[in-house]
Amino acid sequence: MADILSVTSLNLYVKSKLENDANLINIAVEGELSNFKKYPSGHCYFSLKDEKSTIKAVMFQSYARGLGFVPENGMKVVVRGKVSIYERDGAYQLYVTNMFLSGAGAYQMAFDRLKEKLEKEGLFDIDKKKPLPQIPFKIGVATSAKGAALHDIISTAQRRFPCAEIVLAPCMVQGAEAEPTIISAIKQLDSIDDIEVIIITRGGGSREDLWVFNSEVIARTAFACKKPTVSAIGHEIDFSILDFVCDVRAATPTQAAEIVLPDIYSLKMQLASIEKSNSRQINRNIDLYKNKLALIEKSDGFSSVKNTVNHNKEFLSRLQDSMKKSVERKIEKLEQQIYSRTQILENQSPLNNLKKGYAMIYKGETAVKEYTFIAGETAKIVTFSQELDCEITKVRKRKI
Amino acid sequence: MKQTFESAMVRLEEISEILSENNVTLDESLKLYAEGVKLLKFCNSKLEQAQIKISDIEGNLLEVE
Repeated sequence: MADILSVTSLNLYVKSKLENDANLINIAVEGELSNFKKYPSGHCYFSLKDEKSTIKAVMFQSYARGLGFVPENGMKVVVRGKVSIYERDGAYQLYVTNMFLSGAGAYQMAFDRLKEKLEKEGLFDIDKKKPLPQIPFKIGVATSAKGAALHDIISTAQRRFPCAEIVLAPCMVQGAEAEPTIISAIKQLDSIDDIEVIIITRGGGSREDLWVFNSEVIARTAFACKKPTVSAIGHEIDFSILDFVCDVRAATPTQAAEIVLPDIYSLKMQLASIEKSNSRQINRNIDLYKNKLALIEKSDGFSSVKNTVNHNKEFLSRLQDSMKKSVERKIEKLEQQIYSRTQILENQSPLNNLKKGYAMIYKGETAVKEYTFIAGETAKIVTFSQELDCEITKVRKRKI
Repeated sequence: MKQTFESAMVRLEEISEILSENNVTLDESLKLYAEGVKLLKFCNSKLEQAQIKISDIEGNLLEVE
């Protein structure tokens, strides 16, 4: 190799060598983080070291935003990526696409440190816990619009309390980039007036998947909520920082819905039993008063008045009877008098005399009592059965 | 104050208790009973909706299977 190379050409040559080495294209390296620096652009620069050696590394923003935790110096991590060279400096380095905390110990350390800090500040205090509403008709849910958690909550709500309304604030639920979306979802739900309780949830996943719910900012946001909050992150065994801050921790999304929503059937039964008891009581009260009335009616005081009234009634009716009878007797008497008068009158009638054989004499149309007839005159004689036209032939004076 | 399901339930239980006491006048118990009937109607009407509603934060109903 007799040619004289430029620095740039050399660096480019080495770079192409490194990038074409199958062993260096996709590698995993374990080490301790040092000199970690995140720039405003989002790119992260740091070194990985072990007891003897160190290597520079870069994680560009497009990869760094998917981080499940906030890297700190001293953390033991495993990174994935490739080895290449930065031509300008001739420095070979790791280009990191993924970073995980290595070993359970590292996670636990970070978790414990934050938990202790927030606990000291009082974010977990029992007396700061808000009581859940007994019968909420509108609940807020912060979760992924596509996740199993939402599905579980909806189907539990449909079964348990279908008259409720669920307000969904969709957010991401995984990776560091989920953090601001979760915070915004919680804040939005807390600002809606008639939402009575907020559930923050996601379904099961790996420890790394759930890690974002150990965020300090999310914890503080949940703590600042005016409304009661319920967390349900992952499965029964998974505990997150959020679980300690929220007013109630549910083991699963389904359990969260069960804790928050009442059972409609037992509510309906409760209402039915109140309805029944009220009807029974009102009828009992009415009966009670009916019985009281019956007792009063039967009481001495009341019955003596009643007796007096009855006596008076009887007296009146007897009086009425006797009056009626005496009037009847009077009428009878009068009728008899009328009858006997009629008899007398009838006896005195001239017709009666005619029956006895007397006759009446008419001069013209007039019956006469005293009239001096002369011979040759005419008269009419009326007997009981006949009328006689007569001519007077002779008149003699009668001696009385 | 807006009537809530919870406050209606609390009042209903109160009415139920007063009605079962012996020293309520008939007039009073009839008034309480009528109030109870109204509250029961209110509560039952709140439980009528049979399909869960899902909405977004702007209040628009969402279709979620």
